[in-house]
Amino acid sequence: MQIKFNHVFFTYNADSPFKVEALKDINLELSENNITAIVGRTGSGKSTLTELINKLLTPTSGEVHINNLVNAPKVKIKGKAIKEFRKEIGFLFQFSENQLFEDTVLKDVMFGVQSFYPKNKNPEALAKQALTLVGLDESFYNRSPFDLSGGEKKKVAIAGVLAYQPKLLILDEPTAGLDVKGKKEIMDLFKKIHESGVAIILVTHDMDVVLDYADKMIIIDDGQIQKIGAPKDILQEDVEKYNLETPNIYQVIHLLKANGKNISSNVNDIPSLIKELKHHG
Amino acid sequence: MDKYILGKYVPYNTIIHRLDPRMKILGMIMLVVSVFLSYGSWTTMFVLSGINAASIFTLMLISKVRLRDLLYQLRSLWILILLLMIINIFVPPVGSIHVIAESGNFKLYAESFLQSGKIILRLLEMFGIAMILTASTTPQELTYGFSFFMRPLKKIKFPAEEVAMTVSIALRFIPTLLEETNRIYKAQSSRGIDFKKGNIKEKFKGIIALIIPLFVSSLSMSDDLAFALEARGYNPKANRTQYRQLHWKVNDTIAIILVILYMSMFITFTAMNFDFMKQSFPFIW
Ligand SMILES: Nc1ncnc2c1ncn2[C@@H]1O[C@H](COP(=O)(O)OP(=O)(O)OP(=O)(O)O)[C@@H](O)[C@H]1O
Ligand SMILES: [Mg+2]
Repeated sequence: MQIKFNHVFFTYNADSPFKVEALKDINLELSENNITAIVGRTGSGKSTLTELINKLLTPTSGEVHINNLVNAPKVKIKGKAIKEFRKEIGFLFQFSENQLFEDTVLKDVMFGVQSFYPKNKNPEALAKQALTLVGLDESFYNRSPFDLSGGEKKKVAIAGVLAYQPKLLILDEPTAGLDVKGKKEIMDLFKKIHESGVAIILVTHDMDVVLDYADKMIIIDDGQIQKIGAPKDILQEDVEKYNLETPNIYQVIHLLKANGKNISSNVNDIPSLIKELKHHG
Repeated sequence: MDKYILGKYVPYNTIIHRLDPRMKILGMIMLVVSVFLSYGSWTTMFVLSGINAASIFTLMLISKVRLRDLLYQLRSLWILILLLMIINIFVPPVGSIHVIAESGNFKLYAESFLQSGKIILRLLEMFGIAMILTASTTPQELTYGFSFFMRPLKKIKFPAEEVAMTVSIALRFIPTLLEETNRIYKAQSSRGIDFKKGNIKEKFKGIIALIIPLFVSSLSMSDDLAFALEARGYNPKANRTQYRQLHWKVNDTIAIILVILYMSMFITFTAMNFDFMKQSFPFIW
């Protein structure tokens, strides 16, 4: 997918006393088949940015190009064309556990397939496959989505997005509310899906996840892009001024360095740190 | 969904915003009375309604309620307006005499249209008044205002404070529910629901996909709220003091006197069955 932001501004409730300038002059290209992390403090504009990609919001000025589609003020797009391109995008919302509505888990997961591909003969098979991927077994198929725990609801929502096999995944805090094991499992799953050719845009507050999984990261603050680059470069610098946490591994390395150890800047995970420490004796 | 809605407080700091909610509630009632009085003839009715409209429009300008938002409110009422027209055409108001067209037994009266126009104008004025009140008064102030007027009812064991609390919670949750609706709307759009186009079946599915999550989340919100109230030891029977006291100021007195004079003028016209066409002016305008 080709995604390009061209001088994009977005203001909520323009010309009213509730006006909020959420994005200011965003210029950005997201075309590589990457895992791209978007990070920044609460209220910095991350969700707004992702919603512009899916044409859930229209810029106040500037334009967003998504493949051949232009999302800009005054540009009208047919409902059919929007649907046609939305089915290429799997969008997991920040509060996705609140979007479930069918009476069984299975039906809810099938829902996206049915609405995007009404001619598909076997939405149930796709749904079951997706549920297996997220680690929910048959015992969940006929349960009501409203009786599940928060984390289980999140998994159902993720399955609902994966079921229609989009080419781009936009994930707004997919791991919020999951336990440590669940978080790792889900992130590994996304990684596997990415390796099968799906691009991923990931919004998260967890810098360890960014370091471990993302190829590229974008820091956004006060509605503006502050930094774009590889996580291992950016996260070694001071990111705390953006209310971000330095990943654990770099905290350890900083401490070691402060105590006189000499550690190469290529060390980004625990195995290589151990090797480095052994090497120096 | 960025539009203002009826009942939403708009935080400007105009002179109307600063008035006491009790004054605004009383004032609103008196203005509504002025709007709904009836007069001697159609001409008089429209002239006086015009004066009402002009006064309400002025108040809207002062309190920064935009005409655009008022009309936006009424956009969904066009069916009602159409229905009104049809009913008035087939059941003309009592005393209709001016026939515009005739075919067989059926007579089309001018009064049918005048009557519809009158009702639409009054509707518009009513909505305008309600919008001025709610846009310039926080839900909290409104509840304080209403509970002040309900206080005497406590003598007859009317649960004034509970009602006030319930109303204030309900008002407080309107914007939250709208936000929630907006959020679910976006989530379901991204799952392929087209809320605007599509056939009846799709539309129906869309509404279900919107309403059920909304229901579930409002129920869980009210659950949480009930727990939170209980955890803080809320006792509905207790005698409550208020964090913010209402203060009646000089401006409020002036405003209420102006509104009383205004309403008295209209009541006088009605009582006199005043008609511009027949009578000489009783006093200079
Ligand atoms: N529907 C809305 N109406 C008005 N303002 C909004 C709305 N949604 C977001 N905002 C405001 O826009 C700004 C950016 O919000 P956004 O949701 O994009 O932040 P975010 O980076 O996703 O934050 P978080 O990490 O908390 O999810 C914030 O200041 C927020 O208050
Ligand atoms: Mg967000």
